[in-house]
Amino acid sequence: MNDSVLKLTQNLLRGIITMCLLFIGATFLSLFFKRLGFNESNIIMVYILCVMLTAYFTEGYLISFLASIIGVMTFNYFFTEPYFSFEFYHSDYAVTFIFMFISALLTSMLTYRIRTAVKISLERERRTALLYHIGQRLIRAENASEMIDIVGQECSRILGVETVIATTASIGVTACTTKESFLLKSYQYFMGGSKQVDEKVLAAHHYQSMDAVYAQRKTVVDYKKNSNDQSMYYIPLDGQTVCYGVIGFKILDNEVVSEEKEDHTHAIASLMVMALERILFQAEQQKIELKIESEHLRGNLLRAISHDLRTPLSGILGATNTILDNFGHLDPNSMVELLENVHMDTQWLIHTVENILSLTRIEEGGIALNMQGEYIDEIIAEVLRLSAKNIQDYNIEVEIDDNGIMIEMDGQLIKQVLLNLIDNATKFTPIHSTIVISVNLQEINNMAVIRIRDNGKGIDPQALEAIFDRFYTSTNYKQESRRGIGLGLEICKAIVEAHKGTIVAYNAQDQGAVFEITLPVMEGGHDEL
Amino acid sequence: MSYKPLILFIEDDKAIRSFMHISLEAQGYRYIDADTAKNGLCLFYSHNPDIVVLDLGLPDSDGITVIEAIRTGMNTPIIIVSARGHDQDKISALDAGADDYLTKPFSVSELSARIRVALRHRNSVLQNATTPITKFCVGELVVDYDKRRVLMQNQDIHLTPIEFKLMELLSIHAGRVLTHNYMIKMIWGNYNESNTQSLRVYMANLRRKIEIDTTKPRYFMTEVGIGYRLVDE
Repeated sequence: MNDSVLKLTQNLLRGIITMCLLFIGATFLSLFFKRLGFNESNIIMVYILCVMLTAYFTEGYLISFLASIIGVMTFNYFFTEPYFSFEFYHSDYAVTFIFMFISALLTSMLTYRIRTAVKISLERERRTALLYHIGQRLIRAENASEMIDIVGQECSRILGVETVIATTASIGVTACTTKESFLLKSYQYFMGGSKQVDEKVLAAHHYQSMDAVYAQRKTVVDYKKNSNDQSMYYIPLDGQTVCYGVIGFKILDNEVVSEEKEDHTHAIASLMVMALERILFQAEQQKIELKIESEHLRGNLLRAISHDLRTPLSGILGATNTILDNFGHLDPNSMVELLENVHMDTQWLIHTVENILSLTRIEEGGIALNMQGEYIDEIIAEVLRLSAKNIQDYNIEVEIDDNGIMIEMDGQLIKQVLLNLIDNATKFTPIHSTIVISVNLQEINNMAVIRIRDNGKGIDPQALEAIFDRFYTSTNYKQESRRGIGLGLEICKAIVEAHKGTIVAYNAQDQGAVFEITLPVMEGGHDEL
Repeated sequence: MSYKPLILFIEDDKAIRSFMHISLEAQGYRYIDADTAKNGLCLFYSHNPDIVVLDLGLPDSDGITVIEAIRTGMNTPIIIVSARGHDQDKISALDAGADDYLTKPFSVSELSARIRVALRHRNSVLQNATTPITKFCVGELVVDYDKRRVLMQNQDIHLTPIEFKLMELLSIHAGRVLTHNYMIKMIWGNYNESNTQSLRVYMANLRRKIEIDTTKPRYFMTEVGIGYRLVDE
């Protein structure tokens, strides 16, 4: 409390000096007026003006009161007979003195009050402007980190006080300073309108105070503990349900935070909380929308799958039922036929389930790819081995212009892509067609281009656009292979894109459809060792 | 009457067990099965089967523990069966001592092919205990361990020392999948990431020297994400 007493004394001293100077000036002016033979009332006016000026330039009612008394006394001393004494001969001077004193006192009081009112209203205006300004800028802020910057910059610039904003991890701001052991994870310090990029180290007790403010959601004034320290005033950023952090302002070393300042800083804090909540709410909303969207997709997928699975399942059920019910009556040929149908349906089911599995792997919260360098010819070899049954009636040609092309990939998934494309090619072309698998190296951008070309009828130009869309199924299937939930190509696309590659489909100039996959070749992945 | 090998099938799905029972017996094997790891191990110790087919997803315990339990004293061939997408499980099972793997869904013919390979391998191991083999022959490929030579269509194939080591390793275990980890450990002694890449490169070179068309391999099978296998028939 010593500081405030000192400040008060200082103010008083400054006021008294100002007052003395003003009175000396007024006295000389009055002496000059008297020499000129001006009326006494002019001199009274000069003194009243002097008291008024004193009130205007100094602080506090005490000085105004003093000035009024001194004014009357000086007048009495210099300008009433007998001169240079506090006595007076005319009794009506007593009345003059009283009225002079009263009017001087009232004028000075009014002056002082007006001055204070102006000062307060100016201050209020400034604060309102600040709030308005922050509010305006916060509306346009797109994320929490931007908001913190805005509030910090504006507070430190317009209020001219150093500002610290500490936030919890939950609002997702990457901190410029992080103190592991504290509850709050991001501390950002602002000074003179800009963020202090290098860590402005507050004394440890400040971090403790901030944590306490955050935990108890209560305002705290943390006075300085030693000479290098500073005093701060902390307010919790208190939201509807949770506390988002703490905002702190630097205060004078022993300042008692006024109610007005408290209101004002709380207003800033709540402004910030409102904006924060808006942004968090928006993010939450987006997340929910995304979830709804994916639920929707999932629903569609499930419907489509269930619908498409029903057909082969009924086939299997029917065939096996027939065999079970008529065992012994059936001739071997029809039994074999029924069993072949069951076999075919099962094959299809397996293929579809593989695709669905791949799709869920791709879509499950991002992509968990198991990336490894693989030689493309090894992958093709395995794909051909796996689809051996499928392609036995087709003429398969493989053209690889460099056997040493290594691509970083999830082998299982790329295998699935190639299996799907080859399966597709066999579905859309008559048996004994030629399917060419070629791999070329594009030297310019170091990409491997894998093409699956057939010599069938090609793809309906109208369908080319939609061919990679989910559930797209062609109406051009060969008679017996009636189905396909159109997942295959969509999965191919998703997988290839997850590998930072591209997949396109087009019709070859001469004949047939071409599916072209472009994948980045691994660094140094096509050098012969 | 010839000896009928006994197969122990440890699998919790009843439908699979029942068709396996029918088809394996039809192919001339003796068959016993168990639905849990515990029962499986009991049957294993009491019957001493010639081969074990093990599903990795058992209700009571991890398939790996079964492999480890069997491997503590026996080298009975173990073929594991697991769902797709569980590559890591397959690799750990192979590294724990399983001989081969099959991915669900699989056909009976695939399984019986693997069983044949495993049995042949076991028999050759039993024979070789007395007479060490000096040569490996499959198709037109000959690996001569004594002379450290590899012949393809009677032509000498020039291999670097590491390539020969790989060839030797694969041919000794012909028919079996060797995981990347295992091969690296056998060739380089220790495992680290860069070795995986080296292994790929050496294997690619080896394949190119021996296969006529690497996309339609006759000898080297790549098990994507798992390892390599040299065919044995």
